[in-house]
Amino acid sequence: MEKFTHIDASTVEEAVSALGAGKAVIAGGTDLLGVLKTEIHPAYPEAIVNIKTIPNMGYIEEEGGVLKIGALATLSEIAESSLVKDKYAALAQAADAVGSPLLRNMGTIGGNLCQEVRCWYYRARKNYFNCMRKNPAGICYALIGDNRYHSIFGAVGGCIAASPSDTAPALVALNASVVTNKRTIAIEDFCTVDVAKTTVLADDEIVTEVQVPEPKSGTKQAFLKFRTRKTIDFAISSVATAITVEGGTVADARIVLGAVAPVPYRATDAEDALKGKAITESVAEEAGTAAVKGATPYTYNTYLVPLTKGLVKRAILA
Amino acid sequence: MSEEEKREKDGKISRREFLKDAGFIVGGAAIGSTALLAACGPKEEVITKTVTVEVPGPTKTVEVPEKLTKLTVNGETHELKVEANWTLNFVLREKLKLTGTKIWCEEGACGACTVLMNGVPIFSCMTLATECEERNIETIEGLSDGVTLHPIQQAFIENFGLQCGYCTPGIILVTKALLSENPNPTEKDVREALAGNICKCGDYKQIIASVLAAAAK
Repeated sequence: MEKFTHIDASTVEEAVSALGAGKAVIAGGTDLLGVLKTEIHPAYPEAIVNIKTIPNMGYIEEEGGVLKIGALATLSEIAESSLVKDKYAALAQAADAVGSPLLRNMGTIGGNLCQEVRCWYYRARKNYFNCMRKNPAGICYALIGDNRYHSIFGAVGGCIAASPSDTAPALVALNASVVTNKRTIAIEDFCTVDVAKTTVLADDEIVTEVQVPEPKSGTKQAFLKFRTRKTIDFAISSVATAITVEGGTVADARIVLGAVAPVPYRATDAEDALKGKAITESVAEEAGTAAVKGATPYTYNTYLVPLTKGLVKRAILA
Repeated sequence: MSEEEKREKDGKISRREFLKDAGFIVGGAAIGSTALLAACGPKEEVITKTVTVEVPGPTKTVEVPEKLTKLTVNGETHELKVEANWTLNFVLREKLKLTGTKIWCEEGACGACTVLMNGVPIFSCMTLATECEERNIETIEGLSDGVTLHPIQQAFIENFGLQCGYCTPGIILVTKALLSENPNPTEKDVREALAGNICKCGDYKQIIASVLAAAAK
C-alpha cells in the first residue's frame, strides 16, 4: 500500500470535517484495504479517516418498534443478536451469509451497504481496465467481455456491475432507512443510480445508523443466497422476502433481488403475483416467473434468469 | 515497505526519500517547517507532522502527531513507530519477528494471517496496525510457554491435523476462540467456525477431528 495520512475520529462531526474529495472512511476495512492493496483507482486517497474510534456506534437495540443498528455493529453481532434473529430474520440471515466468519467479525453493517462493486474489470489490479466507473470517457468492459456475474436488469449509466451487498436486499425487504450525519434516507433511495458511486452519500457524509421498522405480525421472512463456495463467496444471486399473511392469504409482500441488478431490485411483479393468494407451490412458481419477467441478460449471464427464478420460489416457500 | 527496510539496513536516507517523508503534501500545500525540523530529530522521538487538510470552508492546517504505537501482543506491550499504511500482519512478521502468523492471499480470503483481537479471530492482513492500540492481540506464539504445548496444539499433532502446516496457526487460533465460547462444539459448529480458513493440502477431515479432540481434552 502507498502512504496516506491516517486520522482517528472521536466523534461523527470530527470524522465528517476531515472528510472530502480524495479522502476515504475506514471502519471494518475489509473492502477498503482490498481496494488500496490492489490499487484499482487511478488516484490514491490522501487521507483515511478511522471511524472505529467513535464510541457507542456499534449498538443493536429496539426503541418504539424500530430496530436501531449503529453503523459500526459488525455483521457477526447482527447475525448472532437474538433480537435480530427473532424479529428481523431476513437481516440476520443476510448478515450471516456475508463472506466468512472472520470477515463478519471485522465487517460492519455500514460498510456492507457502502462497499464498492465486485465487477472484475472494475477490480482489476492497478486499474488495468480504466472503466467508465472511474473514467467518464471509458467504456463498460463487462458489456462486451465476460459478464457472467453481472446485472440481468439493465445498466446504470452504461455500467452493468451488480450490487454486491447481502444486507441491502434484506433491508429493502424490511423497508429500512439509513441515517447519515445529514439526513434519513429510505434504503431504496440510498443505493445510487449514479455510475461512479454505489451510494448517494456526499463526500462529507457517513452512515451513522440503520433503522428497521418492526414487521407486522404474521410476516414471514427469508434470505437466500446462491454462491459458488458457501463459505466465502459474494452472491451470484440472492433474494430477500418479507411476506405478510393475513387470514391465509398474502396481504403484503416485498421481494427483493440482490447481486443481479446495479441496485437491490424490488421484484414488484412477483409481489403482485402473490397478493391476495394463499401460498402454494404453483403460486410461488408464478411469482418466481414474474420476478424475472423484465430480465435482459447479456451474453454470459442468461443462466441467472432461471437461477433467480428458482431462488425466489424457494424463498417464498421457505 | 521493502523500501523502508532497505533504508533501515543502509542506515541512511536519500534526499528524495527524505523529502518524500518530510511532508504529506495535501491539496498543494507547502511542506511544513515543523515537519522538516522534526524529521531531523532522533528516529524514535514523537514527532509532529504538519498536514493541510482540505475541508469545506477556509483551508485549515492541523497538527497530526506521529506518535509511537503501543501494541499489546501475547500480553507483552511493544512500543514502536508504525506507519499508517502498515498492516498488523506486516508489523507482527517484519517488525516484531513473530513469523508464526502467516501471509498468503493478502485480501481476507484464506485465513493464514488469522490473529485474535480481544479474543475474536480476525484477518491481520486486512487490519491497519495503527488501529490496534489498546487491543489485546494474540498470535500462535502466545499459546505455548515454549516447553509445554497448548492442548489444542497437542490435539492437532495427535490427530494429524496438518500437512504442510501453513494454515495451522490460523486454524488453531480460530479453534481457541471457538472453544472458549463453545467448549462442546458439534462437527457443524467446527465446520462453520473454520469456514474462513483455507487448507491447501485439503486436510479438513483431520483438522475437524483435531478440533473435536481438543474440545474433548
